[in-house]
Amino acid sequence: MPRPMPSRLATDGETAADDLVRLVLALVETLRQLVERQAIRRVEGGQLADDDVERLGLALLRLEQRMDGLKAHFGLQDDDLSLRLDLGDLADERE
Amino acid sequence: MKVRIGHERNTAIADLLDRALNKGVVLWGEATISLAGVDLVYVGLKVLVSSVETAQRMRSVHASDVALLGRRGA
Amino acid sequence: MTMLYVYGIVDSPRFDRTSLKGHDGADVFAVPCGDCAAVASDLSRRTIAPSPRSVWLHEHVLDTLMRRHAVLPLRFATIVPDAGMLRNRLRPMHRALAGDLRRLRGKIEFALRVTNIHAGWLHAGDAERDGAAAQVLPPGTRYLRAKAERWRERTAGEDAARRIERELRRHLDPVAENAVWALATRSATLTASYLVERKEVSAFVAAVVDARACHPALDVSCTGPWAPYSFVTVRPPEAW
Repeated sequence: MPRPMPSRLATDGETAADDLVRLVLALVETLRQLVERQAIRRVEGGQLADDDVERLGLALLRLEQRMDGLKAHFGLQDDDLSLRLDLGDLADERE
Repeated sequence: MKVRIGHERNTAIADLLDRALNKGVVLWGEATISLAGVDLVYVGLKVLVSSVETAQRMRSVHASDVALLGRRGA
Repeated sequence: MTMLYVYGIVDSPRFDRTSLKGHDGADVFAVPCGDCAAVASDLSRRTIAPSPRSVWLHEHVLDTLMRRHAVLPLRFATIVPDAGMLRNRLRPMHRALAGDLRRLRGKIEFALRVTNIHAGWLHAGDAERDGAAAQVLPPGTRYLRAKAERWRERTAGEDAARRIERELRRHLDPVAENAVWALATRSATLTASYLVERKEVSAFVAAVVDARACHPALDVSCTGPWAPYSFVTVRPPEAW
């Protein structure tokens, strides 16, 4: 069952490592989504040649597959990795 | 006497859980590591039973439980 | 082993607690701290699991006291070993607690939920699958196109939520003291906490009914009154 990010990091050995893994993966996932969003904006803006679009797409696709693998390995789901970050301008997609 | 507008039966308990489990005054708090105003890590006393999974299970509880308690306590 | 379960803080060092019972049927009493008091009851265990019953009981204790006092609700399951430790913790927070009590006196909280914001939003994933299969494109490009579609759907959903919030605020803000809104993107649910003065409660409820009538396509629900959980500002002294 998916759990939101714990509001406390456990300080005993086993669960501490789990919580840390979740935090790290959550950060990586957030960055991946940011990068993906930026890439989409550039593609939609028509600024990239077809070859570049394909290369970018493949790289992002592989990144997502890599993340899926890591999530599966650690038994985590999307909900387990949601960070409530207020990224302000960084995440702003509106023109 | 609780006001309940809208036909979602388990809304009241869901609304209460959201508040009682996540908000309200905290006396024994948590130290927070922040970066650029973003709370990243919470380290604190393990005072509470881990309530999140329970809370998610509770969301499917019906209002009939609520009525039962209301009769007893009022 | 007896612990103390603490429900909230009231604005008086003592209160009339005639038949008020807390968890496990224990008497609820005051632990005075200056001009105010913590509301507590004895608990013969170290933890308490949240259940509809136990959480409603927590709220019921606060509700009862709110009829006569200003009350700051504590988070569920604040359990301390003894009154001494409780008083020591409250002492440095006393001024902040008094401030919150003053601000929240005579005010209660209402909860709002709005679903059905953007029907197409939750099906964005389906569009991705169907779209991706239909087009004969190289894999990287196909991937990006599908993702782009998904982000477009989500943005449209967030825009819809913003519009709805604005609309509903027009009805509700004039009869409220304060409001906090939040959007849960995953469930496409808009929620809000409203702080309302007691004397404005009927006006607020009428405004909610009105808002619902003006937006029949939306699923707007409202529950309350609740103790003002979302509007306390006092924080514990940092451990570090």
